[in-house]
Amino acid sequence: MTQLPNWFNEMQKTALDKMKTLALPKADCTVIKNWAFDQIDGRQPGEVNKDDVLASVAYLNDETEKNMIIVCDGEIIYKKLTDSFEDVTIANLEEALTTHEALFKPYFMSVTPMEMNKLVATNVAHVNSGLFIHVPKNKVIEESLNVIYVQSNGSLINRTLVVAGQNSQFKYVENYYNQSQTVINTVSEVVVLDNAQVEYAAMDRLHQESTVYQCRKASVLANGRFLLSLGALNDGNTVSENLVDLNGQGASAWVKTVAIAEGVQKQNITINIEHHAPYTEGHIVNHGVSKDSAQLTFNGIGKINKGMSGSNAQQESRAMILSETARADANPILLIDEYDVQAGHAAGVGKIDEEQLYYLMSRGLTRKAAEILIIHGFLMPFIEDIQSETIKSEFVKVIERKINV
Amino acid sequence: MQKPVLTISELHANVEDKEILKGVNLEIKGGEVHAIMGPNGTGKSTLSSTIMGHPKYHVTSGTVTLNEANVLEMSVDERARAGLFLAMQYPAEVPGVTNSDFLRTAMQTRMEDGKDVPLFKFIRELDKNVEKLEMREDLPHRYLNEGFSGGEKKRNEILQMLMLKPNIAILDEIDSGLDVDALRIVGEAVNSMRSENFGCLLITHYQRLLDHIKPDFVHIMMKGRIVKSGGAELIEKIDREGYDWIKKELGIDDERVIVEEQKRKVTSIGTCATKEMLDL
Repeated sequence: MTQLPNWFNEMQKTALDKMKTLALPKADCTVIKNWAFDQIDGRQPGEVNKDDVLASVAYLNDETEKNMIIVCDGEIIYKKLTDSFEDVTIANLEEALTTHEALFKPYFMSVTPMEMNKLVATNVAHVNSGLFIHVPKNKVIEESLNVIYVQSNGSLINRTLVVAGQNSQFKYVENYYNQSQTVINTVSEVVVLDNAQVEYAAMDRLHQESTVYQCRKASVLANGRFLLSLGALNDGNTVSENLVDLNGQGASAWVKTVAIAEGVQKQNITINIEHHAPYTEGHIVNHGVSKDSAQLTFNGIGKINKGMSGSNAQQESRAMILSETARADANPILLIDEYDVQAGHAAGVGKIDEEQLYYLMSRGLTRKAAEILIIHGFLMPFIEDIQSETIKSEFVKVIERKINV
Repeated sequence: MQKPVLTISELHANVEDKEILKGVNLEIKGGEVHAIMGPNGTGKSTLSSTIMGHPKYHVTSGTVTLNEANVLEMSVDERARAGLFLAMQYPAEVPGVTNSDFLRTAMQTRMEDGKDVPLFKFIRELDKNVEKLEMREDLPHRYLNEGFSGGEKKRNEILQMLMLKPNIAILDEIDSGLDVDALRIVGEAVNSMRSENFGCLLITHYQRLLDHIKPDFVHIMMKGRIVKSGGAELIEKIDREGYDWIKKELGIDDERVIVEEQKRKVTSIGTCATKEMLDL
């Protein structure tokens, strides 16, 4: 194995220490203290059969995909890029720490320091996979980059660092895929520099009832824009934190989430946009469906700090409950410490609207067909944002499977 | 094809345990246009919702049959597929569902197993009808009734009728909130449907709509029943003299069955709930 820089080894040691004392992330409405986040499985000896892995994710990678990277257990096993990604640095974690150290080090952990919570520290201490993407200054890329992270051997402790240089524009789609039931811990940090724009779409469809912690955090500098579209479709218990710090004047963020919780699954999803600069704008839209005996929680938080005048914090969380035993919570939280701002929130949890059902049925649709159409429509805000047609159709399929059963 | 017949006899129905329909008798055949007129609160809209099967309305006695099949035993969607159509007074908004997806799904329910609605024919027909109703060109891609003006919603109901080609259509106050031009367009669209295979029931309290769609039969509803039936001459008389002469003739004091109750205060979490409850 390549020699990793000393500072990194030291950092991992510190993280191992801090893990023991730091608290778990806050997950309002869900008791997570007994979740098996720390039962990390080590890698078993033996080589991964790349062809098998590629075959298992082939349905996400058809010929229409122009730019695709597949990372399996930390190694890039597939890479297809067009010329538009020329000058863009894309490296696995090992290369990032060695070949690209000078570019990587100043940003690494700048957005998600290990002190955030126990699970972020765990991520630093045990990281075994990841990607570093650096888009240089003034680079505008129309095409989107699709990345699939595959777990095949041991737990997946994944780290992504995306840096969008000044005035750059970049679209990124990430998928997680796992082959065995284990602990998954993913932390993605995104640095959006001055006047840059990042469109970030994430489809979480981890299956086999793994215990999952996912944290995405962006720091957006002056006039930067960050757009996150999140499809929370994991099968296992999940804590998902999606955080944005608006750190420069004129920075803005849009976070749209669609979630489906089913079976006995618990999904706790937090979206937090914090305004650290004046004239910043944050929009949160969450739509979710909870069925069977699942529990779904949306914590939407908009926080405008003192002095950040002219800012705007808006949020909307809506959840649909499809069975008597399913549960859904929408917690709208606005923390405002400044007068000259705009803020608004809307939240609602309920069953499928009987008037909508009656209306559709009065045109001949069966109750089932009407329900599916209404739920589908309810989850649309995310679907229409997805750039890649392959991912979009796959996503529609997953939704249909999940709401049909 | 058999000429459609909708037969309503001695229909009684409740809303929240209050009897609204008190024995309605009516027969609508293919080729006929019936109009039900009457002041507010006499049970006209209750009749249309009861025929369609709205879950809020409970039939306590009487029968409704369509070509001799028992409509009251059918679910709402079965009634629709049997050939009934109700253009609603307040159609629901369904965000995220486009008009064209919705219409195609609705038409698909009428296809035989294994057959699909032919896509090009569907698009051509939809475009033609959108143009006929002078609706916005982007209508197929807009979400169902979401953000529609009152008039757009009404036209959208008529558009659905044109596409679904029902045998019996009930148009519940399709004219309220429509301007003169829109009224003409809707009237022409309904007239274009008139045939031996199509019967229509118009519910209205304005005679304006009936200038555009000439009814064969006119019925007056009061106290949850049809109290008077006749031809087009009734419309003129009501236009001239109002309803008082009928009330006098029949000895009716208060024609209403629905007395508007004070609306219960609705509080949503989206707004400041405490403030609203305290009436601040």
